[in-house]
Amino acid sequence: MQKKKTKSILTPRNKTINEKMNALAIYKKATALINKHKTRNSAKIAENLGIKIYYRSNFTDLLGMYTVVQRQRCIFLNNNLGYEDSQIVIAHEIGHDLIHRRMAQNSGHKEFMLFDLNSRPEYEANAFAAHILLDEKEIEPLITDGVSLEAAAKQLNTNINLLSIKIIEMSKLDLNFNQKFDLKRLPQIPKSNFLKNLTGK
Amino acid sequence: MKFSDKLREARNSANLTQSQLAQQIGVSVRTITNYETGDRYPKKRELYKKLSQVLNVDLNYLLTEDEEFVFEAESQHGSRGKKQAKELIESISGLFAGGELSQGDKDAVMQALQEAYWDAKKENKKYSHTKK
Repeated sequence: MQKKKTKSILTPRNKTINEKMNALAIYKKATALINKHKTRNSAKIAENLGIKIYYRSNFTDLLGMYTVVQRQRCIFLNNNLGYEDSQIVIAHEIGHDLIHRRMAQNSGHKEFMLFDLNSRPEYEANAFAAHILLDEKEIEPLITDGVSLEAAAKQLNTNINLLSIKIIEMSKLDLNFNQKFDLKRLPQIPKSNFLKNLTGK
Repeated sequence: MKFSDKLREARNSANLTQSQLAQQIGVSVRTITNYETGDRYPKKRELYKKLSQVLNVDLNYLLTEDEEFVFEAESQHGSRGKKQAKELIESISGLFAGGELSQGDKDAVMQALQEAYWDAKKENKKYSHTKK
C-alpha cells in the first residue's frame, strides 16, 4: 500500500484494521459480481452492469477513463490495446464504478485516468481488477509449490503486476495464505501505476 | 486547443496586429484582446466566419469542437443544453490542467465525452416524462 500523509486520527492498529476491511469489501464486491454474472470477462460484466464502453481508436497514451455523463456511466477505452490489457483496464474502470462512483458524481466530473495513479482510488481499482480477473484458487497451488512470480504469471497468462497486487490483497485478507507466501519474495511492491507501463499499442 | 490560442496563432501567422485584425472584421481592439486572453468568445457565428476568412483558416478550425459542441447543444436542448455542455467542457479543462496528458489525447477525450453526451441525452429521453 502506498503511504499517504494524511492527518489521520487512526492509530496504527486501527489503520491496519481499516485497510483490511477495505480489502475485504473490495474482495467481496468482486466475488459477488463474478458469481452473479458467472463470468470473469470484464467487458461482459460492464455490459451487464449497464456501463457503456466506448472504444476509442484515437487514444494514444491514455488507456482508459471512467466518468458519468448525464447519469450515463461510461468507460472510454483505448482501442489499441490487446485483449488481455483491455480486460485489465475495463476491470479497473468497473472498480471505479463500484467503489468510487459517488466521487465521480459529487465532484461534478471527476475522471479516473490511469495516469494519476499514486492515489488510493487507483490502487483500490487495481485491487478490484486483480480480484475480477484472477482466481485465488488457481494461484494458491502455484504459490505453495514455490513457483516464482514470473513463472506463475506466465502460467496464468497474466500481467505480473496484477498478480503481485492479487497476492498482496490475498495476504491482507488472510485467505489461508500468510504463512505460505513470504511477501518478501515479491520482486518489489508493485507500483500502483503499473498500468502505465502496459504497452499502449 | 482553446479558441484563444488558435486565434492568436492564426493572427500571428497571418502577420496581423490585433488592431489590424479588429479593423478588418469590424470590432474593437479590446474585443480581440479579450478573445485572445480567453475571457470571451464571439457571440455570433458570423463573426467566426469573418475571422476565418480574414485569417485564412478553416472555419471549423476556429469553431473548435468545444464551441461547436456548445452551439449544437444549445440548438438542440436550449439554454439548459448550453449550460450542460459548458459544464462538461469546464470540468474537463480543469482536469487537464494537471498536465501529463498529450494534446492529442485531450482532444480525443473531449471527442469521446461529447459523443457520450449525445448518447446519454438520447438515452435519457426514453425515460423522461415530457412529451416529445
